[in-house]
Amino acid sequence: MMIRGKGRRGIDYSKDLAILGTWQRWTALAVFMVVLIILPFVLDYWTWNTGWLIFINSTIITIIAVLGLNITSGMAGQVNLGHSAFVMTGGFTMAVLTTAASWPMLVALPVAALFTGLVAAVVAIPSIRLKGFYVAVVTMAFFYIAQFAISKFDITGGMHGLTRISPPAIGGHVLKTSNYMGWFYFMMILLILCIIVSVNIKRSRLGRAFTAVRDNYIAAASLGINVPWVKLRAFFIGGLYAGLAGGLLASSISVIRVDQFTFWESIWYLGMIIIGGAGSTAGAVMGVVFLQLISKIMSIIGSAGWIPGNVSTPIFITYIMYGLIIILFVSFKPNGLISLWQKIKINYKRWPFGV
Amino acid sequence: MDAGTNLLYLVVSGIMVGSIYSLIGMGFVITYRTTNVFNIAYGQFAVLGAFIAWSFIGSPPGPSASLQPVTRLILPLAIPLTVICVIVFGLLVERLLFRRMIGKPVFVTFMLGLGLLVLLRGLIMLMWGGGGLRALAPTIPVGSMTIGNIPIRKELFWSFGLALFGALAFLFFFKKTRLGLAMRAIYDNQIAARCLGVSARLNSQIAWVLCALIATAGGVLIAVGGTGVSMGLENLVLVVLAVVLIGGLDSLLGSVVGGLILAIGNNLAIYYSANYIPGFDSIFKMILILLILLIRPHGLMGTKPIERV
Repeated sequence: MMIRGKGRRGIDYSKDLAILGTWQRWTALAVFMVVLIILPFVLDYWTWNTGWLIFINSTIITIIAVLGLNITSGMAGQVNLGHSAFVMTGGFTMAVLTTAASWPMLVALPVAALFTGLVAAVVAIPSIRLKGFYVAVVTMAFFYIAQFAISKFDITGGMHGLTRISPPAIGGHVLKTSNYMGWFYFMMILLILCIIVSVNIKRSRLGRAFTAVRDNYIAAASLGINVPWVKLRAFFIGGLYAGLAGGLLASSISVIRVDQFTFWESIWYLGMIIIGGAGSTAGAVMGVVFLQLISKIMSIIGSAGWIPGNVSTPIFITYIMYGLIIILFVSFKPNGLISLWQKIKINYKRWPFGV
Repeated sequence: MDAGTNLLYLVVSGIMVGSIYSLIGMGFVITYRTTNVFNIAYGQFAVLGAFIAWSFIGSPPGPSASLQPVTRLILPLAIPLTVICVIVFGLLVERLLFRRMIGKPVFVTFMLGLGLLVLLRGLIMLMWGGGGLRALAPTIPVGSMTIGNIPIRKELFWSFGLALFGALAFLFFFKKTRLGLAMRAIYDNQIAARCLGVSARLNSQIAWVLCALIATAGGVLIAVGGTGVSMGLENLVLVVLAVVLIGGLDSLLGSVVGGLILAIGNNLAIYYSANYIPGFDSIFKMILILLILLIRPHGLMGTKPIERV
């Protein structure tokens, strides 16, 4: 008798590549969607305030930004220390378009994303000849130059930034009401679209080109991949995501200033990718949720007064925690949380024969 | 001052600041050459070293006397203690973090450096409180003096001398001593060097200790030069990046060249752009980095890497 492992077995390649190949996955998806739809009502009812919904909304924005970085850095291997500047670019574009030019949000958002993508592609031009940490330094230089430039322009409000950005609205219907629910649904739909795009990039020809360039660009070039063009596209797509996240952020908090976007933000984004598992879409989402939850828990602990002498969480605890987490993951789990999940899955499939 | 003297002043003070930059750049180059680690946490090394030095040396007596450390000591005791602490720190970093990274891809060590950067920043804030600026009691003569008719700060002149001494000592160490030879061998071909009996571990330890010591020296010299000890010293990493990228990541001599170019260029840029673009000096080094990476990615004096599949 042949012993067959658990799990699915495609009879052709399209079945094998399918994301939702099994009925278990379809069920999980359905349950997840139902949870998402009723989540805001539950939170609104049980926590008597919108604190958690605001937290979830900011997490969604961060996930979108990190998905972009995951494409540039995780899939294509171009370490990007300037992602926070890309988000800033998108945010300021959105703010200028919706407030000064009073464009409707649904038009301004794609334009902001596209503009940021183009900026990212321009930043990528020096990185065509470079690799590894040289690319990181280029993007870092871009971060400081962008910060400088935006703090000098009049249209972006200089150092003071822009305030009273028009709230998000579709056809006159304001999304960001007092309980943030419409805004939550809108961003959730965007997020799901972003995730679908990201997953599909990963298993497309372009995604395989990204992986090839990341793992060995000389071998990739000899296989006929146009390496500079692939790098440019990696930055462009990453920039699209960052611009989208920045636009959502600007509409969401209706105030935007240069010093909201620090260099540390870029490092957190990279850390989230490392923690989740570089190159994997699910990993990026996991990494963001993990770090966001930790910072939320720390701020709850801080405001509960368990740390003597401080009203809120002292900033150094955040740095120490994040630093330790990044160091521990890089040292001991370099493939991130997603590798844990995959290990569980493999063990389940092979049981009782595997490790 | 007339225009000529002014230009001369800018160049001379640029050379002096540049010598400090060169010394700091060497600390970066050493870890890159021996352990192949791109030490992005270098700025935090300088901050930590400067804060340790402040804890033993203290602030100058005066209005800020309330901010004196409890462990303040006399200078002949304070300097060796600082050095010991920094050496221990360097060894710890090597043992706990980077020893297990020998032979790992650059991306991994880079991310580890980022983690270290964040962690050190938190620890420094925890130990010394991030906010305040602490003046450092002068460890070298301060005041003003003139060379010819150019006014120069005395501490800058002394820093210049110390940095020059340090840089020469390094060049001597690497070119003329057995240990320096061993470290160069490790950089060129790790496996061959180990076959010949060179200890990669010892070299890595030496590299990290030297890196921490030089970062401390740089941080202290810059703090004495007037900026004081604060978290702001961490921006030194940007200076260092500019210096080593201009000079070439694996060239000690290159970091001398890079330091001089950066400091003199920075002086001139500040002076001549002040009327047109205020604050231009803050991104001058970034533009230099971009230019050098566009034109000559391996730096002026670095070796061009040969890529094989």
